[in-house]
Amino acid sequence: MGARPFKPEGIALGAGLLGLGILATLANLGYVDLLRSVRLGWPLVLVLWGAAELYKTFSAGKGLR
Amino acid sequence: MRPGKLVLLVGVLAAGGVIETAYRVRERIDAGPFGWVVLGGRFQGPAFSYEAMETRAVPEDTRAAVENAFGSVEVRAGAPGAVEVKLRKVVFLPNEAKARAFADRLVVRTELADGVLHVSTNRAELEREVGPIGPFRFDSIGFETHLSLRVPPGTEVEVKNEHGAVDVAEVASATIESSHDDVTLRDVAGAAKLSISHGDASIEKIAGDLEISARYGDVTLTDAASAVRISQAHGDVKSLRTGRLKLETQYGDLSAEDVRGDLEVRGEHAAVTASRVQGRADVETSYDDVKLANVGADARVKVEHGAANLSDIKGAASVETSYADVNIEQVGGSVTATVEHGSLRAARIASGARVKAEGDDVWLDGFRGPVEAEAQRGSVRLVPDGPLVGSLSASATYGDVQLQVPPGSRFELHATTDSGELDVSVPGLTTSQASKRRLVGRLGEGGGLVQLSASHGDVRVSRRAESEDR
Repeated sequence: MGARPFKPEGIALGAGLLGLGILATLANLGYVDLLRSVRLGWPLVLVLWGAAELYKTFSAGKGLR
Repeated sequence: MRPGKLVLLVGVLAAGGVIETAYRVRERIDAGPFGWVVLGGRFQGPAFSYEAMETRAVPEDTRAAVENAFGSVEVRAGAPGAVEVKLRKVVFLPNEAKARAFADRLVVRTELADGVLHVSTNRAELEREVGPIGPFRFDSIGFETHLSLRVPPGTEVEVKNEHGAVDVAEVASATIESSHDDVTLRDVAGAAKLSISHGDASIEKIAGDLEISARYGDVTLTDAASAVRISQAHGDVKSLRTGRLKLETQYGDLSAEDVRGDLEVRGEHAAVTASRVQGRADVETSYDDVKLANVGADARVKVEHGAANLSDIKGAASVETSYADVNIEQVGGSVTATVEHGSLRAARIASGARVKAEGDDVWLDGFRGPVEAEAQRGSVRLVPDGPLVGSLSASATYGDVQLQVPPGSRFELHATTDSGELDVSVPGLTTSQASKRRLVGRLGEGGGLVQLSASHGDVRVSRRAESEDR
């Protein structure tokens, strides 16, 4: 079996779901305001996704050389 | 980019948009009137109230001009030689310290120029400073400015206000422009002029001429001694004890009682009810009914798609209607009436009538003077009030013509029918020509000509007993 291909969107989606789950749990415990926190943090999914895409692109470039 | 990835990206962005919207809606939601949950605005939430007072000495005959918004304006007579201005500031901020700091910057402005004392606040400057910038900022501060003035007795007052009630009383004259709240005006020694939109007006005891322009609100008027002119768009007008009253209205009803002069109404979609009009009544409207009672001079009514009811008219009555009935009772002058698609019934007419109905019956009960009556798709019934000696002409195209002849009547009779029966039974009537369809006769000496004709109906002439109950 070969290594699974690197998927930036998978990382972003996974991290987003992970963050949402953690925030929801913390909100249920009364530590944070879920809506305010999600509103504050959701653009980080885009940042993470973009960073992963860049990493993949540069990694592929190194591999080609 | 692969389609799946593109869909995921759009989905993430859409989810972000939903989160932003949900957050903003939650931040603006608040308890509204009666506990309903509403989207809050600048004027929701905790508020703190502060007061400031300013007194300005003014020369005699100084006029006062007040300008305000988002707050009420009250004007009353006070001591001579000075104008007192009380400003109540209501600031909508979460804590008292912030509210007080903001309220301290909100001040009364007074400026005396050309015999006019201008009273306002620095609201506009503060609004520019804290107002919303662009469609996505909601950080402006809500504040109300309520002005209360005491002006020298006999002051002429001018008020411009938006989003706040106006209450003016005990002044020499008043000119008011108001929107989005109600106006109360009373005890004005001279003329008054009021322009109001989106609010009701309550007006009482105006000695001079009164002019009202109102949109989207009701007008209630009591004791306006001089001429009143009202232009109304969407609201009812109710008046009691006014001078000459002139009203232009759309989509609103008029109820006028005790008009001490002429009444003139031009309405659309307006019901008109007026009683005790000392002068002439002239009413034109549509899509609703007109009711006039106790008019001291002539009455003229024109209604499209509405009925007309007139009673106790001292002068002549002129009525034109369509698609509804006309009822007229007790008219001192003559009656002229035309009804399309409706019936006409008139009683106690003193000086003759000229009436025509196209779609239903004509009934004249208790008339004096010359009469011309015509019904096209209905019958004509005529009952004179006393001895019939004047000229009378009645015709029906698709209906009968009936005449009751009181004792003492004198006339020459010409009665014809094209396809119905001719039934004439009046004691003392001498017949000179008689056939199945035509009869010429005379009752007594002298008198006028009575012509009765029916194209597709009967003609019946009978004696009316003196005691007959009509």
